[in-house]
Amino acid sequence: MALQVTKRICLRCSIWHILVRNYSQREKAEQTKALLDKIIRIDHAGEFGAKRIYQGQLAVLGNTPSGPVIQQMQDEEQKHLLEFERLMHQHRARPTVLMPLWDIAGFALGAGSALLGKEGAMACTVAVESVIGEHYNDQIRELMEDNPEQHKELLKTLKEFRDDELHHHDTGLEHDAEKVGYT
Amino acid sequence: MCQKAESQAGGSEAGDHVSDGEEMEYETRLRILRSSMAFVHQHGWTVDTLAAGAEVEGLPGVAHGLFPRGGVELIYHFYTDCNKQLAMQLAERVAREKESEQTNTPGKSKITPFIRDAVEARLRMIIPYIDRWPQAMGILALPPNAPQALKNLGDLTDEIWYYTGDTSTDFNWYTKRATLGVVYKTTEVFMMQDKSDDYQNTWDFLDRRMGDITRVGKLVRNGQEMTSVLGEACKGFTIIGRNILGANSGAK
Repeated sequence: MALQVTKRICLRCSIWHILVRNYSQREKAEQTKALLDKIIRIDHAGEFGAKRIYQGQLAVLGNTPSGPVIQQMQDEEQKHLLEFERLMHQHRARPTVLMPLWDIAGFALGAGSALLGKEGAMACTVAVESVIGEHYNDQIRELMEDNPEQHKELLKTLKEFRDDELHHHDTGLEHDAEKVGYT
Repeated sequence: MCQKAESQAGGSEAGDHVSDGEEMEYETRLRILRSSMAFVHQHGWTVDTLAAGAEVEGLPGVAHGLFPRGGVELIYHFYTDCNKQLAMQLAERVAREKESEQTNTPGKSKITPFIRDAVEARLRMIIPYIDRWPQAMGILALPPNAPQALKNLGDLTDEIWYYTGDTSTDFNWYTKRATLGVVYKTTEVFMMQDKSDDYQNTWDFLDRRMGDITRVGKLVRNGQEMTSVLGEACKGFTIIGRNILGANSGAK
């Protein structure tokens, strides 16, 4: 009896409902699904764009000494892309509508920065990879906030990929990214 | 005071606790929607139908206020319910086909009949309410309702393509679903005025539309091949240009 009374009091106490996020299981599941959908879509687009950037750079600098370095970084991005495609199938996420745009824009950015020379290409790499690193960190935070246990696998994948991207960032710095503009 | 009462009611952790109020409302809405379907022939897709459904559930007629957008919510419910049923049927069919066949990869020839049968199955679900479905289609076309209606159509086409084993991860994902959406919509409209026996004319219409898709698909593929050949040609011209300008003298 006391339980019914207390429950009824709480149903009427709308202030409580505003103060505490009481989501039902069903709504929570929907929110998690939407979050995963968004993360996988954005990351897939990001890896695709990164791959296109490297391909653009290779189109200009493919025959120079920095060719193999860029090729290796592109291969790693390809690996990431395949993993996100696998996740996309697993979670039935949709790809981004802007795929054709990233296709062209990525290649243009890569080729354009490579036309500034090897330093330009490396500077582009450093800039892009640092932004991507922060972005992965934001997503990891979002997933941790949502449900670290449920997303264990995905968190591990994102952390690994973030470390790869930061490695690319450091590679870019090693190869004279900061010397861009000095003739 | 409320905090203590809530914890007495059985412990609450933000995010894990089933909100009694919200779940109750959701379940009540579901009950009313399900009961209202029986009254669609009488009152159409309107607030009166919802009121009648509420009364069957033992609630006052004004409980239709749970549905601020009115009759269109009943249409959405019916639409999404049919989509869920279709998903179950398609899952069963895929499971059956996997058991019965040796190879795992469906040949392209299997996808078109699969999609055609899926569209037919889904359209047949409308037949019990076909006397009132034109009204529903009209309501769904209204600007406030159109976005959700489009989303429902998108979900429907996504379900069908998913069960064909579609694994596209680029813009094809959208073109496939868009073309199927057009086929479904046009067949639906055709069905509304079809008076033939068991809607045979509609299924023939559907076959012709599926034939259209296949033809357009071939056209697109040819177009893509043409684009890649043109791309190679452009690269060739660029190399010629650079040769002429002497820019290739250092490279291999």
